[in-house]
Amino acid sequence: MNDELIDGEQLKCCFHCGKCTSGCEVNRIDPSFQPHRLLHLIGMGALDELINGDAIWKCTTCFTCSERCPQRIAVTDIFWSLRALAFRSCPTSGLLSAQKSALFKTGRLYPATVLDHKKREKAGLPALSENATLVSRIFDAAKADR
Amino acid sequence: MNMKYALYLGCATPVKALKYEISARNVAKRLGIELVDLPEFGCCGFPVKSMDRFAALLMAARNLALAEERGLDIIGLCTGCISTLAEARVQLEDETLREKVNEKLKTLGAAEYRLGVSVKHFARFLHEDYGLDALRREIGAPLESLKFGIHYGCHYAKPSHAHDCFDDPSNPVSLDKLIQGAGAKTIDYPEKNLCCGLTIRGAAEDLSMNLAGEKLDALTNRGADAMVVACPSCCIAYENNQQLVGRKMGKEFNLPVLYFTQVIGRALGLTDEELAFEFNRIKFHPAAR
Amino acid sequence: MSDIKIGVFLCTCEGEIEKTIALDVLAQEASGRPGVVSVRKDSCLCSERGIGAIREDIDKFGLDRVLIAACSPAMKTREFTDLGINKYLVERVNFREQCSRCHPDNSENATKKARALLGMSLEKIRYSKALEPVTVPAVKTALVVGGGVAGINAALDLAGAGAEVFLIEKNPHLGGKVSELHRYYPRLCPPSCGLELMFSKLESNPRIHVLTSSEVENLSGSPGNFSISIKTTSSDAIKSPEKDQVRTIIAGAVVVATGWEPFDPTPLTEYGYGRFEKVITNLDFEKSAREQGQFLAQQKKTAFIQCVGSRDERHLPYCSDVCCMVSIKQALLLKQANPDNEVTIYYNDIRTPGEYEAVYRQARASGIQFIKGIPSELRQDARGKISVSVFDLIAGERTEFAADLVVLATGMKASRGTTQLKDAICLATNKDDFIESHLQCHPQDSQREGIFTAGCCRAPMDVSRSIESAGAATAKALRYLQGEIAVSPDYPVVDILKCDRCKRCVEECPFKAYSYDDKGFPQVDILKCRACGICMGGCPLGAISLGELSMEQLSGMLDVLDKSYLGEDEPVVLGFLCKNDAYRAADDAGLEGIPCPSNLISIMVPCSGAVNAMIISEAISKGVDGILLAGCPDKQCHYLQGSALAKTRLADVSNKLKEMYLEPERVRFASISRDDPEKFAATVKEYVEELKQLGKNPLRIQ
Repeated sequence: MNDELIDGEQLKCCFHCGKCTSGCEVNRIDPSFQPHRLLHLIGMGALDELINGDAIWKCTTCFTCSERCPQRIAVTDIFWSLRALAFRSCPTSGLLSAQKSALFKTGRLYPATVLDHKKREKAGLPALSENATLVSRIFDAAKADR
Repeated sequence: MNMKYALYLGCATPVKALKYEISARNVAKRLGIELVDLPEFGCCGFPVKSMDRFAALLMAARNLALAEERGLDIIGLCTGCISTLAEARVQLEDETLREKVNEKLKTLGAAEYRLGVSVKHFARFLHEDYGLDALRREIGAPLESLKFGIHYGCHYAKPSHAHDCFDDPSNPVSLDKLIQGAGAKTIDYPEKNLCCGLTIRGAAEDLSMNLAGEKLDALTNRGADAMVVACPSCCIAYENNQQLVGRKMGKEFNLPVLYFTQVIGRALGLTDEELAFEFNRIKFHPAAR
Repeated sequence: MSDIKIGVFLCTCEGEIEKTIALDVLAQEASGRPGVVSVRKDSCLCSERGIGAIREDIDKFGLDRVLIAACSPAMKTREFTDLGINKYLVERVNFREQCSRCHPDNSENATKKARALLGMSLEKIRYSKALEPVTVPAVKTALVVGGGVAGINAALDLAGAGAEVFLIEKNPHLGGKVSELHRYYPRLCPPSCGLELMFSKLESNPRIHVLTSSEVENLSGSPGNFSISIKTTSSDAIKSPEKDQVRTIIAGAVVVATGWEPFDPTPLTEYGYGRFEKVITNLDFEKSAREQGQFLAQQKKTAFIQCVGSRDERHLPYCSDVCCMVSIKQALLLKQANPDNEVTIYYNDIRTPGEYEAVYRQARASGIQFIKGIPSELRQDARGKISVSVFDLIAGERTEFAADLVVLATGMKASRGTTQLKDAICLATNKDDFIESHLQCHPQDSQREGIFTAGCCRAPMDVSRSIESAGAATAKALRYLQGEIAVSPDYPVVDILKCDRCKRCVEECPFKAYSYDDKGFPQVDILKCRACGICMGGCPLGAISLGELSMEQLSGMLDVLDKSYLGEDEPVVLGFLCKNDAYRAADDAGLEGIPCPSNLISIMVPCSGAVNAMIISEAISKGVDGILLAGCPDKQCHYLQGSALAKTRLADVSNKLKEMYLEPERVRFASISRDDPEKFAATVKEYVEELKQLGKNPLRIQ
C-alpha cells in the first residue's frame, strides 16, 4: 500500500497545472515547499532524496491539493506514502520518535497519566481502558509476510 | 430515527479536551441522543499513516468492526479521527483489500468488518440527521448579539468523498448554520479555510505557528466574540498555543476558543458547568466586551 | 451441376507464381472437375491481353462463372471487375500473396495448399449468384437540424448542390451561439457581418425553407426516404399548445447541427462563480462586451483562468479546443480598447495550432502576461476585487494579482438539443454525449447511414472548423440526394423459415439497420446496412447470409476441404481473416517475403464478427485441426464491436469444445492490425506448433 500511489497511473498523468502548489497554505508561508515539484521529482527518480529530506514533513495534510487536482492525484496520500517509506528505511528517525514511542508503549498518541485519569473521574466521565500493546501488535500483523 | 450511536473519542479528546467531551455528552443527553462508550476502541490510525499505511488501515478497520459488531453507527468528536475512519470505510469497499484486512484482523483476534457502519462527526450528525429545524425547536436561550468566527479545520469536510460530500470543502456552511440556529451570527472571512497547522508542529514549528497566528489575527480584527472549533487538535493550536503564537507575532491575543458543543449547549440552556466552561483557558465573557 | 459453366484461369504472374506452385498439374486436375468447361494458364491475366483472353473464353465456352487464381483478391480489383459477366460470379483465389510468396522454399507444400484453395473456391462458386445493385428512389430533400453557423452553412451548401433544404431551429431566431459573440477569431470580426451575409443568402435561396421555433419529434424510414415529423411551437407570448403545428417532411439525408452549451463552473465553488460578481465566463464576457459599450475599456486589470473544468477528470475530461484562442481573443480586445489595460492569462498549456500561433505571438507582443500555473481558488476582498494568488511555475515563486475582473475559460458541452435529438432519432453518442462518429476515418458520419454531423454537436470546434465540417457533411450527404441511391447487393438476407425471432441480429447490429416486420421477424434496411456481417455471425440458427458470402457456401467449402492436404501429420488451420485488417496483413506478409506455414487456409470475411459459431463448430467436427479468427484490435474495428463480439462467440465455442472433450485451444482469436504482417506470421507459426503438440483432431476421418 505504501508504494502503489507512487508508481500509480494518476501520478504519471500529472500535467503540471500547478494547482496543488497554488492552493497550498504551507507554500504561501514557506515558498520552498512546492508539492508540484516534489511530485515531479518522484517521476524523475529522486525518491531517495525526497525520503531523506525535510520537505515531505511539512505537509499539514489539509487535502486542498487532492480535492482539486484535475488528474485526481491523491497528493496528500502520496506524502503519507513518502513518509512511510522514510519511516521504513529509518524507523528511529527523530521526527516520529515521540509519537512512535507513545503509540507503541501505551497504544495512545496522548498517553493518559494518573492525573488525567483522576480528572476524568472527578468530571464523572467513564474510565479510559488500557490497551498498551495494540499498536505494536497491529504493526507486527501488518508487516508479517511482507 | 435511530438515536443510539457508538461514541468515538480518539486519543486527544479524552486526555486533552475534556471540555469538548463533557459538553458533547451533555448536549447529546439533552437532545435525547444516546452515545454508547466502546472501551475497546483504539487509536484511529491517523498518526500511523506516516509510518505504515497498511497498519493505519488495520487500526481504522478494527474500530469500524467493533462498532459493527454492536450494530452501532459511529459519531465522533475529532475531525481527524472521523476523516480517517470514514476514508478507511470507503477504501474497504474494495473487496480484495477488505478480505486482506479481515484476514489480518482475524489473526489479531479482532472482529471482521463487513461494510455495515457509517461514520459521522457530531456536527454533521446534528446538521444532517438530527436536523436544524429540530435543533431550533430545542433552543431556549438564543445567543443573540454574539458573533462567532467558525474554524472548520481541514478534516471536517475533506477528503470530500469520505464524507459523502455533505458540505462544500471550498465554502462549508454546516457549522455556520448550526451556530446560526443557536441564534448567533457568524463571520464570513477570507481566511476561513486556513489550516490550524498543528500536524506540522513538530516538523516545522515556525510554519505551524504562523498558520495559527494568521487566523487568530483575522478573527480578532473582525471583532469575533470567540472562535468556534470542532476538533481537539485545532483547539490546541489556537487555544493552548495562543500566547506562544501571539508572542511570536509580537501581538497579544485574547480570543476565546469554544467548541461548537459549548455554544449550542448554551443556547439549549445547559449550565456553564455542564458545558465545562471552567476548562476554557481564555475565559468567555462576552458581556464584558 | 451440368448447367453451370466454370472457367478456371491460372496466372503465372510473369512466371513468378509458377516457380513455386505447379500450375500445370493443378490445371490438369481442374479440367476434370465437375462444372469446369475451360482451363487457361496465362502469364499476366490482368494485362489488356490477359483480360481479352478471359473475355474470349467467356464467349467461346459460354462461361457463367469465372475463377481467377492469381494475386490477392485485394489487388487488381478494377481489372477483374469488368469482364463482361456479373462481378459476383467471379471468384478470386489467392495464389500469390498468401501462397507462393509466403511459402517460397517449399514448392511441394505450396502446391498442396494451392490445390486445397482451388478446391474450396470451385465449391464456393457453385453457389454464387448474379447479384445486382438495388436502386432505391430517393428524394432530393435534405433536413438540417440546427440553425447556428454550422447548420446555416450546411443548408447553403446543400442547396448549392441542388437539394431542397429544410432548416429547422428550436429558437425563434437563427444564428446560434455565434450570434451571441462580440467578435470571433482570428481576425476579430464582428459575427454580425458574416451572419448577415449568410442570412441574406438563406432568404434569397428559394430551395431553403427555414422553420424557427421548430424541433424534430420523430424520425422513421430509411436513408433516401426519411420521414421526419417536426413540431413548430406557436410564437405567442403565452404558449398555446393547440396552436402548435406538426408537419411531416420526407428527406433523403439529415445533417445534425445542434451545437454546444457552455460548461457551468458553479460546481467549482473555489472560483466563486455565482458568488463573486466579478467572476464571469468567456461567454459572459462576450455578452457584456456586446451589450455595454464601455465594458472593454473599463477593465483595468483582468485575469483569465484557463481550463476551468476542462481536462479535469472531475468535470470535462477532454480539451475543448477553442478556449485558449477565445481567451487570447478577449485579451486582445481588452488591449485594443485601452492599451493601459493589464491582462494576465493563467494557463496550463497554450494550444494555438496552425496560423493561430501568430495570434498568440501577437498577444504576447502586445503586453498580455502569460503565467503558467492555474490558481487553486479565488477570494473576494473588501472592495469587491478578486485576489488571484498563484504559484508561477516558470518563475518558481508565488505571485498575487488583484483583478477587477476574472474570466473563467470554460469548455464546451454537448447541447440539450443534441441530447433531445438523440433520443428522438436514436443516435449514438460517445461518453461525453457528443454524437459518436468514427473520428479517424469517417468524422462526419454518425454511425447511422444517411445522418451526418456538422459543427460542435460532434466535438468542440471553432467557427472556421464548424463551417468546414458543414461542407464535409454536405459532401457525404449528397449520395442520398441524387434522386436515387444505388445499394450494393452485399447486404444480408434473413431466411424467415429458419428464424425463431430471438432478436439477436436486431440487438447486435452496430448501425441499427434492423427493425421488426409486422410478424416480429427481423428485416434489414439495406440503406442503413454496412454489410459487416455481424448479424450473420451472431444468428444462432444460421438463418442469415450475406450477398457475397453465404452460410451454405461456407458449409460447402468446409466439406470439400481436404483436412490432410499437407499429409497425415500436418495440422490444418482454417483462418477467417477480416477484410480490412487481418487479411491485408496476411497479404503484406507475403509481399514482404515473411515466410508463413502452409498449414493455414484463409477465408476473407468482412469482419471477424461475421463468423458464425455454427461454422466454427462444423469445421471442428469435420476434422479441421484449428480455427484462427483474426480481426482488428478492439478499438480499431471498422464496425465498432465486431472484434469484441467475435471474441465472445469464440469463448462460447471454446466451452462447447470442452464439453465435447475436445481441446479448447483448437479455436483462437488474434488481434491483427493492418500494419502487422510480422505479428500475423508469428501468430500462425506459433499456433501451428501448438496444434502439432496437441495432435490431430480426433474427429478427422482418414
